[in-house]
Amino acid sequence: MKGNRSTEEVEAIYHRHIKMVYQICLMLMKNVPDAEDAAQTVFRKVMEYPKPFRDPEHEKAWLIVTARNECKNQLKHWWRTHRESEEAMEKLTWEQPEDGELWDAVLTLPQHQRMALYLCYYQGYTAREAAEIMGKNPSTVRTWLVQGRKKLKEVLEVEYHG
Amino acid sequence: MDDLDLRRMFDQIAPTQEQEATMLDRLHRTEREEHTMKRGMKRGLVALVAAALMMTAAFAVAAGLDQRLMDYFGIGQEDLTLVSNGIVQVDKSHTYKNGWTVEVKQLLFDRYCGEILVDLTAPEGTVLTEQDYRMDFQTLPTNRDLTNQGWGGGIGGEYLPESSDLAHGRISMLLHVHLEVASGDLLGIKLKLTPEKLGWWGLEEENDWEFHTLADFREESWTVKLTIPEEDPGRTLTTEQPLNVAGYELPVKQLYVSPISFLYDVSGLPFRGQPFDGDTVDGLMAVMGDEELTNAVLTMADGSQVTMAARYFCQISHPAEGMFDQGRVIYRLADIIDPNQVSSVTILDQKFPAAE
Repeated sequence: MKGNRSTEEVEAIYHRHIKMVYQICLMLMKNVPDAEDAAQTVFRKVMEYPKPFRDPEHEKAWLIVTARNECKNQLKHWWRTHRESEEAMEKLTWEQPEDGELWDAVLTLPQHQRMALYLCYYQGYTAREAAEIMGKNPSTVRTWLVQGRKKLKEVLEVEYHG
Repeated sequence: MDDLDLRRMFDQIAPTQEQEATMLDRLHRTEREEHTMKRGMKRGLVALVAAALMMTAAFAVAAGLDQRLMDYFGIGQEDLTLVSNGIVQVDKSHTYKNGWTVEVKQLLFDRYCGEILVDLTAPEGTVLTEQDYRMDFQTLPTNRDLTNQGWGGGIGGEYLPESSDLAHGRISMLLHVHLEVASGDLLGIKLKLTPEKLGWWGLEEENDWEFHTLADFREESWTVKLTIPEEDPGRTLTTEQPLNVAGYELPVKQLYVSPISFLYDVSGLPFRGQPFDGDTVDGLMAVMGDEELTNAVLTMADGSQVTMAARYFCQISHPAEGMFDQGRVIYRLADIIDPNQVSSVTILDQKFPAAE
């Protein structure tokens, strides 16, 4: 593989973090093909990133930020590059999670709230740490967490009670 | 729903082992293909790329729009004529005593939005890391009497990671200027742009968040004057129909469409003669400022619909704050359009036919 990293090194990073990178990409891109493409691009960037990571936490945070940036960039161009194939995209199917209602509800949230929920409730970051990764103020992230959970609850209640 | 439900749900969206293997295989395969191509076709490819770049550059220069602005707004070659009268070539640069060079490249504008492309080059030896860079700057019109008119709005420098080259010390930023109500418009003004600082927000040890200043430009106070033409790239629409926002029937002061943006102004917010009322402001903001992009849609003459790519700006002003009882929302369009082809606009599910 190209860049300054050996094939073994990139593969080791891949195996350590593919799950997390893919989850972020799927959560932000909302469909499997785009999530796979974005995740692959993230690891191509790992190959091309010339500097060593300071420590495992730096490596992980770098991948989170890069995955988020990659998805944001792809989404910026989504309408122009994929509009013609929108119908085809809708026909794509994939194995939905068992908690399909919750997943659908999560996808209705704004990107930043989805990301904050994932980092804090799944990856175990504190609001302050998540804020650092997302380049925001900790109080902003705390607000997003509260708003996100509130909206999820509302959506799920509507679905449950009709 | 509790934390456990969320964790379980996120667990379920992990890639399968088969997906992991497939993605890794694709990663290897792409690399091998690149490697083979590099060995076998290097000379041919270089010539081809050079020719393509020359053609692209020639076209972009002829049409006057930087490729990076085209990429950001999703402007294809076929759309260039639609934005051609909204382009101002600037190409002004300055190297500061601290070693940083700021190049103001181009401005793409309409009546209320200015999008300024800026390249910043770090001093030799500076190691740039991937950050969500922010650039602070000031703008001020120099040929407009501001005695009875305000000047403000949403401004901010957005980092363009795909256009930057951190390994070679270059950061590209897009500076947004979105005018608020009662700031007039951008047409015909001479705008003074003053870079202030470049950096990012980060956490300092155990303390609160702080702005990490990478470059401070304030000591030298270099300014660039941008002269914006008087011709409007967009189209102003009027309507007698009010817009219902959170139960309030608000007169629509104007609707404005340009190739890159959509704006609406409302007046008659329920504040006149009232003390500041945070709940009402928040209630209106929750509707008008909602980031749900389907809240506004343009319908074109051929029946197609154009959605919004981003909500740039939302203002709810209150007389008690020395402002006006007016509101403004500005969106960036998901597609480049010909404003003359807009047949109606839909805001919050309420349709407004396009009328001059």
